[in-house]
Amino acid sequence: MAGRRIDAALRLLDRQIIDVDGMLAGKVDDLELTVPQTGAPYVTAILAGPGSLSRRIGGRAGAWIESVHRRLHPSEFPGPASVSWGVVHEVGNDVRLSVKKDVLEVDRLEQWTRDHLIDRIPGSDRAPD
Amino acid sequence: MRLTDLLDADVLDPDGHTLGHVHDVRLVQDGPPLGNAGATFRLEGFVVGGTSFGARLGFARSNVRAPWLLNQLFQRLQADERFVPWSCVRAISEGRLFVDVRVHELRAPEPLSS
Repeated sequence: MAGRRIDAALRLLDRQIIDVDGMLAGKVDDLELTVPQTGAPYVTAILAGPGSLSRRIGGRAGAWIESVHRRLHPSEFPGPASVSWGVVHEVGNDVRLSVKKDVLEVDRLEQWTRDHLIDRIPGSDRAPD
Repeated sequence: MRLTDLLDADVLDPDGHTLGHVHDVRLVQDGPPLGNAGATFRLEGFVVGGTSFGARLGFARSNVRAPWLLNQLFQRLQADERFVPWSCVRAISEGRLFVDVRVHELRAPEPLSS
């Protein structure tokens, strides 16, 4: 809704991200704002996952999360997973997207972790009772 | 720039006095259009205050129903909140916002509906 006002920390941070099929796609850990040549900054992306959460937590715990994220990340220069604000459909109690989660960078990180870590744990192929 | 770079930043007036720190960043949906999302959210200003205890819980800045005692406590804690428009910000540097207004020129943030 054009002209709508929200307080970002209260209404966006830590909100659940839900894709177009209703699948959970992470949480809003931070927002990226672009600063134009003139005028106020504006939101261009949601940042999600351990790469952005580590910075919020800070201190030793944050540094540990960041180092784990770097080791698990498939790319040489891992950064936080970014969801373009252009695919946000609606902001309410959660953040609803107009795309499927499997096209998101957040989902690729999750898949890599599942394929390279979780699936190697003995018993991980057994369905929960 | 990230939202978390702004939250909890110290806010200083032209005399170098601390007005408080950033409790929240107010956005308005009148920015440039992005993809399918229509107009994105533009930074309108900052909710600035003293203690941030309870600020993120939203009891004092939303219509969240809270137990009476908690409501009274958080209302008092947030009574000194002020709204600093983006147009008053002169610089952002190393966790600090430098603004060109003084506390007596600022008003309380407008309550928003949920």
